[in-house]
Amino acid sequence: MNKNNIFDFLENSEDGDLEMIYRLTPELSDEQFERILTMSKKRRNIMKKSNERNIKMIQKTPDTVSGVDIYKRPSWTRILATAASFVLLAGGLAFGFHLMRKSDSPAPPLSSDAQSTSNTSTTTTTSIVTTSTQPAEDTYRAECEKAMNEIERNKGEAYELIAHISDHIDMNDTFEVNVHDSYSDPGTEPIVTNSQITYARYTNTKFGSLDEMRDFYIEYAVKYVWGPDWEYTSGSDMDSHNVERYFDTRVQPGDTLNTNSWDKSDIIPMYTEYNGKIYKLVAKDSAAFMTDAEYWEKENNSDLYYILGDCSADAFDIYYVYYNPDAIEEMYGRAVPVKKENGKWVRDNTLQKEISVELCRELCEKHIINNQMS
Amino acid sequence: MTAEEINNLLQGSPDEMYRALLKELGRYVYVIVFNKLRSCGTNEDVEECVSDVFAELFIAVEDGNVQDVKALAGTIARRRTIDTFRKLSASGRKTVSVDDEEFPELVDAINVENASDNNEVRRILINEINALGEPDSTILIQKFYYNRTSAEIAKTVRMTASSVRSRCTRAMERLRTSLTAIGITR
Repeated sequence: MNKNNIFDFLENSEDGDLEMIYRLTPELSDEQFERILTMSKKRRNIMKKSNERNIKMIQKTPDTVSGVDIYKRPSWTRILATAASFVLLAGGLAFGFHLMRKSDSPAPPLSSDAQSTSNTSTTTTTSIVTTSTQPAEDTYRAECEKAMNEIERNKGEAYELIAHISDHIDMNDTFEVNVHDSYSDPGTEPIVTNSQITYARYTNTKFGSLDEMRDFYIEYAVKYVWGPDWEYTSGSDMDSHNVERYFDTRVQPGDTLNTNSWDKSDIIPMYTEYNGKIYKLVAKDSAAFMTDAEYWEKENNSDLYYILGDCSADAFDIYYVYYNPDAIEEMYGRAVPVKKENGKWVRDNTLQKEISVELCRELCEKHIINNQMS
Repeated sequence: MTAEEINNLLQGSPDEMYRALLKELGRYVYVIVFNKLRSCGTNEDVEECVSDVFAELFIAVEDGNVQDVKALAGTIARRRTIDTFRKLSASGRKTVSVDDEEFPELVDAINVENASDNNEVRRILINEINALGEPDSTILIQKFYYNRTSAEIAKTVRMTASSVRSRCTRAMERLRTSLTAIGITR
C-alpha cells in the first residue's frame, strides 16, 4: 500500500470519522463482490465444520465442567495428622491400661474414647493411604516433570515450523518457482500477473523428510489442541487445510503455479521437497522474519505457565495457568491429563477441566511469584 | 436490515442470504477493515479479513437470534481486524529482555500528544475533503486512501480515466491550498 501521504492520517479512525470515510467509499465492485463472496462461503464451510467438531468433542466429555476443584492437601498436614492420631491412640490406650491397673472397678466406659478412637482410625486410614502414596509420587515426579517439559518443548518446535524463522535457512541453495496469477471477471479480459517466488534449503537436521515434519506438526501442534484422536481428513477443518498448505504440495525449480489472485495461500506451499532435500518458502523482505532466539523468547515469555500436577507411574496432570500480574482478576487455568500409552506419554486436551481461581492463585504464588518460574 | 428481513432471507436459499448480507454490509465491513490494515497489509490481506468477517457473520445469522446484524458485523469486523493487524505486524516487533540494560529507558510506542494531534488533523482533513464536493472528494479518497487506479475509479464515478486524472490533480491542488491556509502542511 502507498505510504507517506497526508491520507495516512485517516488510518485508525474512530467511529465518527469512519462514518465520513464510509460515505466517500464506493460500493464493492462486481469482481470484488464475487471474489469476497466466494472466499467467504469457502471459509464459512471450513469454520462450520471446525465448530461442529468442537461441539462433538465437548459432548464426548460430559464431565468437563467448570468450577471443579482439584485440591491437593499440602503434605505436611498429612504428616501432622498421622503423628497426632498415633499420639492420641497411644495416649488413650495407655490411660485405659493405667486406670484398669489402679482400680478394681471395671474400666471406665470407652464410649467417648471409642468414638475418638474410631474417628482417629478413620483419619489414620486416610492419612496412611495418602502417606503411603507420597513416597511413590515423589519417585515419579522427576520422570513426569521431564515428560511434561518434553511435551511443551515439542509443541513449541511444532509451531516454530510454521513461523517465519530466519534460522535453518541456507540462502546459498535456492530455486525459483513461477506464479501465474490470473483473475477474470465474466465478459472481461483477465488481469494477469506473473511473478517468481523463492524456496531456500531448510537445514534443520531434526527432520529427514517433509513427511517427518508433517507428522511432527500434526502430533505436537494439531493434536496438542484437538487431542490424540484427531485425524487428518482433507477439507474437513482448518487444521487439515493448513496441513495441506504447509506440507503436502511438491514443487520443483521452474514449475509454474496457477492462482486466481485470492487463493495464493492455498496454492503456494510453505515447504516442499526436491532432490531429497527440504526447502522453505522465503519472503523477499528479510525483515519479515524473526530469529530462532526471538521466537523462543516470545514463546517463553507469554502469560501462560504450565505446572506439574498430581503424578503416578503412568499418568500426571499439567496445570495451565494464565497469569498476568497486571490483571490478577482475569487469572484462570485448566488441568490437562497426560497418560502413558505403549511407553509414550500422550496428552489429551479433550479431557481438560477448568480449575478454580483459588487453585490458580495458589499455584501462581507457589510456582511463579515465589520461584520466578518462567 | 431488520430482524424480519433476516428471517425472510433464512427461509430462502443460503446463497441468496449470503449475497444479500454482503450487498448490505460489504462496504461497511470493508471500510472498518481497510482503515486498520491499510498500513500493514496488502489488498489481498484486507479481502481475506473481510471474508473471515462474513464467514463468521453467515454462521451467526444461520444460528438465529440476531437482532442487529449491522452492529454484529461491526463487532466481528473490529475483532478480526485487530487479530489480523497483530498477526501482520508481529514480525516488526522488537523484543527486549527485562534484564537488558536499556530496558528501563524504553519508551512506550504510543505518544499521547501525537495521537491527540493526529485526531485533530484527521478531522480537519475529512472536513476539507468533504468541502471539495462530489465527485472530487470521492476521487481523492479512492486515489490516495484506497490507492486505486484511475481506470478503476473511472468505473465508479462514470467518467473516463483521463477525466479522473485531471480532476484528481485539480482537486488535490485545492485541498493542498485549503490545508496550507489552516496551517497543515506535509
